[in-house]
Formats: sequence, structure tokens, C-alpha cells
Amino acid sequence: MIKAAQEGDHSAFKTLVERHEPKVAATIFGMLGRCSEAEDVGQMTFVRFYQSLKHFRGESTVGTYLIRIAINLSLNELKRRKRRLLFFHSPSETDIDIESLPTPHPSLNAEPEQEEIKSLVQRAIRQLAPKFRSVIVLRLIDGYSTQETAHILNLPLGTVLSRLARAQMKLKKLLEPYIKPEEARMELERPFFIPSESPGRLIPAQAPSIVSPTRVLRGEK
Amino acid sequence: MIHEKKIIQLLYRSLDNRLSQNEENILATALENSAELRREKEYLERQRREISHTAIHSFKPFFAERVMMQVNALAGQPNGLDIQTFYGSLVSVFRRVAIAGSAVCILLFFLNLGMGTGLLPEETFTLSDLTLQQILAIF
Repeated sequence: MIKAAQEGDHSAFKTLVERHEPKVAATIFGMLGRCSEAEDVGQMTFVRFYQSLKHFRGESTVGTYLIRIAINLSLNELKRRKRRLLFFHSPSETDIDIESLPTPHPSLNAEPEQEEIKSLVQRAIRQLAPKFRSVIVLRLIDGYSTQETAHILNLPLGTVLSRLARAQMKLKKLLEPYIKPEEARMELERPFFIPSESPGRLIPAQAPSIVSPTRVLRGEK
Repeated sequence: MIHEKKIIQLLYRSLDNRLSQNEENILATALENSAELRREKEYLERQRREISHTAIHSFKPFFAERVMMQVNALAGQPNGLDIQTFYGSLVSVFRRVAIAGSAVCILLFFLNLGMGTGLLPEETFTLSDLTLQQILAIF
């Protein structure tokens, strides 16, 4: 397919575009969010790939090569946005970077619906600095291994791992009020009072025992 | 004694990379004994799942067709890439000319300053009231 595209077969190139569109789209939307620039960056990614087809020697896979172009163009777009915001601050869709998350719902049991969670997570990701955003997008959205992520970003594996950990900690801070672990959700859904043996009487449900890791490490029970 | 922070680091690392046998044992023991740590792990796993669900896998319909229109336009141009290279080289030549011009201006400025003609622009960037003898003396 690549050979045919290199020899000028445009239908072969179109097949390559169709084949790699999903991953390129996931990367660019992950980096930039849903915005009009994302489509332009997507098109530019494939045009750049077309321009460099003659030089493509297959040292990395087409997918990895395209994702590297997509990441670089997205980072350029983010820099352009930052400059634009700095000099010509006007409320537009590019302002999403400084958008904050809404105040969590006061009700304990109310966890947002799936679509709401999706939107909250997307907004939280957009609040990360580009260097953290890129590792999150490649590892957790595109599903690349940490080795592949390091290869695409041209970074040492240790740097990728530490950025991943720091990015997840930042996301946790932002999303913790909205997302609960499964166990906690079950606790929330459990009634506060359970029926006792004698009919008509309710007794308080026992709170689960939580042991802190520090106490465990100290050998305390 | 291993610090709590170290255990948390191990937990984060375990999700993305293989731990050594010793590290795995430490983490497993800590997880077995701490409900808080288990909760943290469950939270992280859920957060990662939610992040992976945010993926958008396609642009607007007919994306490939729009890309091909651009590619065709590029390929249809007579030596489209050559034209780009030509403009690119023009830009780099202009940059050199601009740098050389600026260098000449700065040189002239200091030369005139050294000759003590004053700091006014017309005096620093021009050689005023030169006689033919003075010009001939320069060459």
C-alpha cells in the first residue's frame, strides 16, 4: 500500500487516510478538544505525510509516523492558541483551556451521567499542560504502550512514566469530586439503616473500616 | 521502612510498567492490608477507563475526500513541491540579505560615531559634507 502511494497511486493513499483516520482523530481531539482547528490539523497531518512519502523508509510503522506528525502539529496549534490568548483575549471556543470544571453536585448519591462524566474528563484533560496531555492521550486514549509513547515523543521511558503519574495525580485532583471508585459507589448506594431482627425497627449500618497505608506500614492494625 | 509516598509511586507505576518481584510483593502486601490503598487503586482504574472512553475516532464525514482534494491540488500544481522549495529558499536568502544589511548599518553607525560627527541619524548613517579629496582618500 505504502509502495503504491509512494509511486503516485492516489487511491492507495486514500485507503491509508481512511485506515488511519480513527487514531489520528483520537490523538488530535485528545490534544485540542472538539474544535474547528482539530479538523484542519487532521488534514494537515495527512498532507504533511503525503509530502514526506518519498522520504518514508518504514523505520517506524505508518501509524506511529502519522501520530508523531499529529502530536507535533497539535503542540504547534496549542502554542498558537496560547499566543492568541495572550495578545487578543476574546471569548471563543479556543478559550476552553482556561475553562474550569463546574462545582460538584451537592447531593452525595448524585454521580453525573456517563455523557456528563465524558465531558468532565475531556475538560479536565484540557487543563493539563501540553507535555502531560500528550502522554495521557498516547497512553490512555490511543492505547500505546509506555515504550511506544516514549518512542513517539522521543523521550526516555522514565520521563514518560513520571509524566503519566503526575498527569494522573492532577486529573485525580480535578475529577475526584465527580468520579467515585466502584467500592465507594456501592457504599453510597447502601442504605444508612438496615432492618433489625425485630420487625419495624431500623439499626444504623456499620461503616466500613478503613486502614491507612501508613498504619499498615508501621505494622498497626 | 518504606514511605507511604513510595507505595503510591509503586501503585502508579504498576499500572504502566512491570515491577520487579520485590516491588510487586511490597505492593501486594500493602494492598492486602490497606483498604485506602485498594480504594486508590480502584479509583485510578476507573479514572483510566473513563479517560479511554473519551476518545473520538472520526472527523466530520468525508474527511478522506477533503484530504484527497488537498493532495490532488498539491499534486496537480506544476512541480508543487519545487515551488515550495523555491519560496523556501527565497525566504532564507532574504534572511541573509537582511542580516548583512543590518550588519552594514551597525558598522556605519560605529564608524561615523568614531569619526565624531555626532549622534543625529542623518550624521551617523551618512557621510555629510564630503569633499572629493576625502572620498578619494577612503579608497
